[in-house]
Amino acid sequence: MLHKEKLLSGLVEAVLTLDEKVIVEKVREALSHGIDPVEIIEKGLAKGLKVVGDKYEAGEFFLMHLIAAAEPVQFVIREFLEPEIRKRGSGRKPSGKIILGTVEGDIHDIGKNIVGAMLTAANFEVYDIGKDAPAEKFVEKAKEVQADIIGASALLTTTMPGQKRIIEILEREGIRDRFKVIFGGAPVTEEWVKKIGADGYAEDAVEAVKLAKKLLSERKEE
Amino acid sequence: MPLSGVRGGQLKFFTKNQIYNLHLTSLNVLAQIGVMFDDDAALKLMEEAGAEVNYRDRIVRIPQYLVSEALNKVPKNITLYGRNSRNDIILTEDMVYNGSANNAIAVLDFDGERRPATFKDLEDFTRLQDALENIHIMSTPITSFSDIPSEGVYKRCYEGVVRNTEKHVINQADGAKEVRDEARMAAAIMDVELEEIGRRPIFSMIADLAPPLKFPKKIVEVITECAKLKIPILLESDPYAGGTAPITTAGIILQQNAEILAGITLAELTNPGTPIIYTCAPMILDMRLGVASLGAPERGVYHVATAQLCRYYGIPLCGVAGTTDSKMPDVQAGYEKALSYLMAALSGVNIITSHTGTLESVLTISYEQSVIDNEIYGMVFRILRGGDISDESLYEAFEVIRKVGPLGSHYLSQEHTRKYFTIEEWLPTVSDRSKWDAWVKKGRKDAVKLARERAEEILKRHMPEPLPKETLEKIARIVREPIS
Repeated sequence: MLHKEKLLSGLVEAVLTLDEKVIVEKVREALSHGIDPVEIIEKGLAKGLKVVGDKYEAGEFFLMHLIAAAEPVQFVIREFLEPEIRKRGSGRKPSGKIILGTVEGDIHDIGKNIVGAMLTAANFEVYDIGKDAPAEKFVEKAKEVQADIIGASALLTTTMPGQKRIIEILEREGIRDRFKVIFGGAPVTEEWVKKIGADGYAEDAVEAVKLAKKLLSERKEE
Repeated sequence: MPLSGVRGGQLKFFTKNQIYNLHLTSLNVLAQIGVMFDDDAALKLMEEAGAEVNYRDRIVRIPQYLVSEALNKVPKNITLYGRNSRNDIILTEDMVYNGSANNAIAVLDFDGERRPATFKDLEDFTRLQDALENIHIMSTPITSFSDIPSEGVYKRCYEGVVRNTEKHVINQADGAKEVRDEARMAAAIMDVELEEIGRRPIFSMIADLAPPLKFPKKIVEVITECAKLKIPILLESDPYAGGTAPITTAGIILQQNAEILAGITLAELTNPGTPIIYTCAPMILDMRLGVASLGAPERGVYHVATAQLCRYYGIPLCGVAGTTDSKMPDVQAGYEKALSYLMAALSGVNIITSHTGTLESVLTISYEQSVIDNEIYGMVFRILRGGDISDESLYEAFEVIRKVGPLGSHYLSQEHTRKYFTIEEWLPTVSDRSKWDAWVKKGRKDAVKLARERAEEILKRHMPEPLPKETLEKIARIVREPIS
């Protein structure tokens, strides 16, 4: 048991190195010792990311540290842990499923990618449909995977109507209440998001994760 | 480890010839027009050295060779010591440091009310500014108080300041006796004999002459007493263009230079090797109001010219910038302070006496403004640091661009980003960079409000290393002695 604890705390430390090689190596080591992949995520990697998040809140770490920790974690979950979970048929329960993309006509995706990495790290199952994505694609994917949340980013005032279109399609199809919809991006404001009838707006990636968690718990209560 | 400054002096307006001609004409001013020394001993010293003295008008015409000899005796590099050696400062060519403030008479309090200053304000402002990371040298934040008499005020100020900072202190004195008293206080702090204080002077002294071309008796005393003790002298001229100096740039810089060269000659004749910091505070006289302006843009030009002169002489320069005529920490305060500070820094003024926290042409001092000023200094120092474009930095950049490439999205998770972030990016302390909604959520705090929070926080927790009880008693005894 002691050995397992040591492997798990080794994972926390590995995340703090922000070094993908170290994180991959430690995850492999834990898997080879028979540690459950769900536990690797929840008691190792997620815990490490929590420490990184705390350091960010305390002003000791910055955005790039958050991303440098979240991206390799996203990578090992996708490449190593999820296949293992599927193989075992054991159930990992992500806290929620979220569709993420940049709206049609917009090829800016740094913000969306940051939010994606942070959400994955926060145990969300993220379906990234990429950039320049038509509103229909958001809705299709959400229906297909039975998502909890749809998140769309717009970096230009000219592409912001793409966010509005997502709401319009959902309403037309009569499925608006099946999903929570959140929007972000440099020109996007709380006021705009309210005006077009979405469920939430976040200023940055850290706020986006908080918002997603909040909406998810609301959804469970509904 | 001494404190490190930042290299300035990138900005030059004038040619070598122009600067050389300024120097030659200054020598002519001293040889043909002369200066007034209101002190018999100084006149005698000058006459014995070869100057032509008119005892009736107390005017000395100084021949060129005397000035040249004096310039040769001024130390080229000066170290300013802190009572904690961590705060030592080595003044070398083009390195820029920041000195704090002096001479306020009123406080703009946290509630926005302007009131007369008390001695407690002096201690609080010193403690606050001691904690601010971009202030390397302390001065006397306030010199006029509602609760203590003005007699012997400078040595009282020194006591109040030195109790609350470990940095080097720039002092003032009302004549020779007070110079000596302050030196005795410093000797007590350093636990050395008075005669040894010049080896590691933990304070230096302003000697502020009276333009045009006059050295009042007390200023002569301050210069000669400091020279005897080898205490660094900040030889200062603060002429008003169009008022106490000619209105042209050539005229004010010429007169100021002649005045300071005369002071240097006196100091080096008194004791060769006396450390001198060329100190200038030239300003304009506002011709609508008849007041001197400390926020006017002309001073930026004066600093460029004076810095170029000082590089020619190889003498460290102290200037005054980062000041404002505004009454509140407002937009006018922001642009006047930032512009003049940047100009002084780019000129390569070695000590920028920034009168940290002051408003109203340095008469009023504000807690919030102190913190905001520290932010301005930080931004300017970042600009001065420039950028490293070298074979190595280009190679590293090329490699990281290759790594991310057109298929990548961002550089946030690159080691290269983490490695250079703290070197490249300056971090604001009170400037808010969030967008509207986030800013509203955080309470609509502007820089003044954020500065207030930081000031209150520092005052709550910051206390520099206290002086030992016996030392405090010793310096208190010197302060209590009658002044004459």
